[in-house]
Amino acid sequence: MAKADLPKLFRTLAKYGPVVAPVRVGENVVFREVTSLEEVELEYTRSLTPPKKLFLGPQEEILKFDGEKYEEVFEDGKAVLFGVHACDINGLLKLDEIYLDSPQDEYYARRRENVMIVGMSCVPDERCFCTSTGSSYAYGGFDLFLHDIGREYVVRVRTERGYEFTKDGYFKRMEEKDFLAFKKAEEKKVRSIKRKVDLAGIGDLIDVTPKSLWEELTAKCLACGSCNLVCPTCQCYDVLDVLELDIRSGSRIRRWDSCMLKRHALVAGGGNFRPTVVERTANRLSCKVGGEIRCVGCGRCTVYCPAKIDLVEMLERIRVGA
Amino acid sequence: MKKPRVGIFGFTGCAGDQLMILNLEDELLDLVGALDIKSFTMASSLVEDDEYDVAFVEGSITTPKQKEKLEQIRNKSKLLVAIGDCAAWGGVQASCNGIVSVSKKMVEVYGSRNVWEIYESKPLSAYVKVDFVLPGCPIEKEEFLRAATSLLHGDIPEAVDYPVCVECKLRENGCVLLEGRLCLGPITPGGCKARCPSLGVDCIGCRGVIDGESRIKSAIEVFKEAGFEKDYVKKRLRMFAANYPEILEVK
Repeated sequence: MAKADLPKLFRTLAKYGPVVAPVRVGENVVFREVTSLEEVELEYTRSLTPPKKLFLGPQEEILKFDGEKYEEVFEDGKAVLFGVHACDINGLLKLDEIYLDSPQDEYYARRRENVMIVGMSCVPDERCFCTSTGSSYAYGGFDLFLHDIGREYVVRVRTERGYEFTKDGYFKRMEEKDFLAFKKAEEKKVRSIKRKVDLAGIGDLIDVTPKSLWEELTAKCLACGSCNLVCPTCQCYDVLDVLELDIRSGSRIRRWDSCMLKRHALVAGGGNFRPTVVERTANRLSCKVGGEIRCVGCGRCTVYCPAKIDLVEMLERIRVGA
Repeated sequence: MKKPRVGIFGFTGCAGDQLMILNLEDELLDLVGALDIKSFTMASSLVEDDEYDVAFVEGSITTPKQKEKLEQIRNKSKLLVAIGDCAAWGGVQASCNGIVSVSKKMVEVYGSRNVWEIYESKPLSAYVKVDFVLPGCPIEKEEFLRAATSLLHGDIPEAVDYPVCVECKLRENGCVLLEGRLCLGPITPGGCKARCPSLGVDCIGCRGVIDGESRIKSAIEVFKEAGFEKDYVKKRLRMFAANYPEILEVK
């Protein structure tokens, strides 16, 4: 489709439900509900928090109770998540492995079902390393994906739901020259992602890294949890009940948790099996790249670390062992 | 169920934390209905000297008389909750502890060191057992309400043991520290919903530090790398948490 026709597509998508898209706020880009295409930041590198927030809210009420009975709270509304990058779509697929696995998480599953995803090609910077984590391209996990090839978008259709939106006359069938332009654009993107990290066998190396090196790598760590909270694949949450003054009614809240914080491994009696940033960082890295690769190379944990701790540099030093 | 007997007391401080309780305007009637408030001098001159199920205590301890009164309260209370930064850490009035002696301060202010006996400003925990701390300058009124509710239910309230950064990220704020201002968010307990950074202002650490958890040495290193002067960093750290051992020893 021609880029000039994007407003038409946007208007059709908006009929499905509220559109949530990347918006520039000060120096950052965040996903927010928008009412027009003009508000959308079409060319951006990475949002501050990942779009997973639509499926797993930063802090959300999951049930209400009144002392007699309880009622689950579901957010069932339809919505369009517009302008999602390949790394973040791959991040959602990794969350699916956990949240949609049996028994599936109803809160997550319903939203995943109801929210339509429109992917968009990205503008990588020097801190992206998604080609090393196999997440620079989305094979699935979206309804439509728009690839910028200059004056036009190549639109990949993944679902029947997405297909319904491509029936208008402004969608043209791909010709060979379009395929070639698409290939060229993808090659350019892959080439522009200069940062590489070798993850082969990194799990073993993380496991056998001595405490002295961990201490060095985490010397500046503030244990603030930012790395987890901006990560598109961090899946941990905490659940708490908030009571009203009648001490009978209230609501159950779940909120994003962070394995870099004290309470993540705190158990009854005050014991903590990950008392310091050393154990917490080893755990975080094991979780991300130790077994399956659960990192999508978006660079957020590095970009938003107040102590400027660089994940790739840490992994490189773990490989070298010093 | 018998209503819990509650006492609310204040020592050296601005009484701002007690005021925050009174500022719970929409919930105040329910709150006084649920609690049997025996003493709250700021709200009522009617004081019933009694035993308390819970004592909420504001202010730092700076005189022998206060110390004695605090011990009396402790002895009469099943639970003692420190409210506000002064009670939790010693307050702003502790910011020169270990640097300027009490007698020097007396001479400076009153011209003589022998006007009356005073102590270096210390938190309540320096003298008595504190069961729970509600930090902040002032406290967050919603946090007080939640704590009161938990206590009514027979639970120890949920302590905020994560830094302001968490709430900043949940609110999708950019990082004030990375944007070049000395933000104490990474070492300060949340609970304020990152009020200041959400307005683009750096966190001044009014909620003190997370005991045993805040990474003071790392923070000093990070601030140094960000180009802040050592002395400025020290002053900022001391403003609300000078009595925290790792901060007290910063040269």
